[in-house]
Amino acid sequence: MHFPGTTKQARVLVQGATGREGTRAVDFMKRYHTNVVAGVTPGKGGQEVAGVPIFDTVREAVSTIPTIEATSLYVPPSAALPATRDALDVGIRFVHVLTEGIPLRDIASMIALCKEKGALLLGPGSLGILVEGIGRIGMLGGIDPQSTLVPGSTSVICRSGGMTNEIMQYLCQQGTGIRIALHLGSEINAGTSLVEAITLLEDDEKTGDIIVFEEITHADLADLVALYEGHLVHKPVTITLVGQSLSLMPPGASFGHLDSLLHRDDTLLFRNIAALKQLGVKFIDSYEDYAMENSNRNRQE
Amino acid sequence: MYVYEFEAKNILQRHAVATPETLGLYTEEDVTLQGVSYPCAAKVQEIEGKRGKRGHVEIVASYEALKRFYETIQMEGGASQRAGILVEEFIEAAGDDLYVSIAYRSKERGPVLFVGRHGGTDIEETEQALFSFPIHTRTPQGPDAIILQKELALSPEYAQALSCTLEKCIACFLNEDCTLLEINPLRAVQKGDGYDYCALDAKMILDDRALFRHTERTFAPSLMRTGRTQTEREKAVEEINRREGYSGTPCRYVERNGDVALLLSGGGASMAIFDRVVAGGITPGNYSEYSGNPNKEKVEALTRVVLEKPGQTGLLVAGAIANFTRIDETMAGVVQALTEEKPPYPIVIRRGGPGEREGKVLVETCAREHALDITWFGSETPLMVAVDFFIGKQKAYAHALSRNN
Repeated sequence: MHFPGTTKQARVLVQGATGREGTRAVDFMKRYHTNVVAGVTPGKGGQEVAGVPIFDTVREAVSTIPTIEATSLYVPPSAALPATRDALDVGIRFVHVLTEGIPLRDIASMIALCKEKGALLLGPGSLGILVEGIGRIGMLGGIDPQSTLVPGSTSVICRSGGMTNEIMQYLCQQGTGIRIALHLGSEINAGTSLVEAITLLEDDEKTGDIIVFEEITHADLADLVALYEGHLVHKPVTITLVGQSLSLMPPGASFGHLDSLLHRDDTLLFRNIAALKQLGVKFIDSYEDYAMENSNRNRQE
Repeated sequence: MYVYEFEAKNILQRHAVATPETLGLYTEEDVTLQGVSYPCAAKVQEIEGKRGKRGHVEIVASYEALKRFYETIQMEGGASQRAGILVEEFIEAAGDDLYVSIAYRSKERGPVLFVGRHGGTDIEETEQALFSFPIHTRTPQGPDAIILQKELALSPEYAQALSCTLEKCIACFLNEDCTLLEINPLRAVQKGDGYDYCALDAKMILDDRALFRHTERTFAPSLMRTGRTQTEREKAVEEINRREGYSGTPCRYVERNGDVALLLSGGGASMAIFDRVVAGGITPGNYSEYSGNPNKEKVEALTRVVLEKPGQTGLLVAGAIANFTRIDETMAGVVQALTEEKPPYPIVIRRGGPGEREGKVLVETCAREHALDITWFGSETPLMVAVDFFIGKQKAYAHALSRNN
């Protein structure tokens, strides 16, 4: 499976295209090469947003404008699950979801539905994916990525939307070009996990190496250890893991025994970090260290 | 949203899960303790766990013992953190007490049912492997009796009864949009010629995000409990999030002991900045975060709360280069609060993204007009360079302060 739009422009549908975020997304995507072919907002069929035709339903959109490969969702939380189902029902197999605050039950259903249909889900709560020089599904990279990004072979996987942009721009300022950047999103139960993202980038010919910005609250590195032990990762991976000082925050009230019974504690995380270091993964304190090492490496070459 | 035990049991009852009969739910003022039969279970209704170990759950055999329990709790004080005392019928065990919970787990990316062979107050001290069973939200189904017989070494009658109860618990968990349901202990009880399982205690967390589809619930808005005693400022920020027109990504604000104010933007950047600041020897007095393009009124309201905490010696306003958040809009909110509060300590602001130039003008004008010590950094300066600059400045200020004192 591949992310759409990595070799050529993807044909993208925007669901919730006439709302505040949807309108902005259409604008942002069109500013960076993306072929936004249709939008959907129930009741607003017949309108246009930045020249993009709007339809009442996904089915109408694809019957008029065929071969839509990807959808990008800016719908209210209560509409996210039905909107995802609508997209999958017409054969769309990449669903990017910006919407935050979707009930956990619905997210679990969205993830299960996408898995059943063999579709990729990015998000919820994700700003999407950017492929340098080709386009973006979502809003990563600011208003004008063209002016700030340079092409290269480093791909960025980030837990945080803002930091995806910060890291991309910083690396480019320091002379490290970008290939793909993707924002996994804020949800603990995410459509695309860190391990899945690394696996997909392994299959991307133009990705030379991968830098990861992960947050400790989300980090579940056991699967990554398994991936390495299975010799399924060959490209260099560098990880910045933030949030370790959050243990200084006041604890919540004790509520329930489950975490304790499942032995969820920091020692498991640090054991996995040690195992990954043994397996060749580099952990750095800050993405700035990565840029410095990379630029030293480039100078030596 | 955490709910009290009695509320959780009301919800379980709606899904036909057996719970002990309630003999009374007594407020701190109600001293009559009428209508109780003995022995009974007396249980303080509070969010904080491990009640048994703190003497907040007791089996009492007489009116005098219940009254003593009641008076002891009243004397402890802190009634505002509790919702009274629940008195229930005492349930005899007809088999082993089990542990059951259902929670969303990131590995399975959905809800998972856990069952332990040994339930009760010493559960964390008892080594046991939990039986786990993923639940499919679209076609929910619990483990059938055969699986439970094998995994939990139960006889067929108990396994059958447990399977029925677990189906109901799963239905409750999904239909009520829980994020956690924990029943400890789940007690086997005699029912006719067979058995049933009764939830002696229930902990439940409801998904705040799904409240829109549970308008039948009668929880008052003020009962949006977070499982920890909040400070006044923390409550104030929750209030900000609930205000009309302030929709979107909620702001976060958590206080701690420290004298440096942080107003951070973006979840990941906030964590990275917090790590850097702590590593630099700073003691933050809060963790606050906003993201998702809030309007200036929301940011102004949050900034006011951040500035309110007394004894602060520095303010860092920082975040990553925004993808689409309007920096001029958010800075207008920050500047409004700074204009009114006029903090004497150093302020460093690092923001980048759409409207950055206009944001810079707003901030620098404010600094000039009100003689505030504000240093602005934009997207041309790497985030951590700005954070390191702040650390140096704040330390110098704090050092000078302590010398003058």
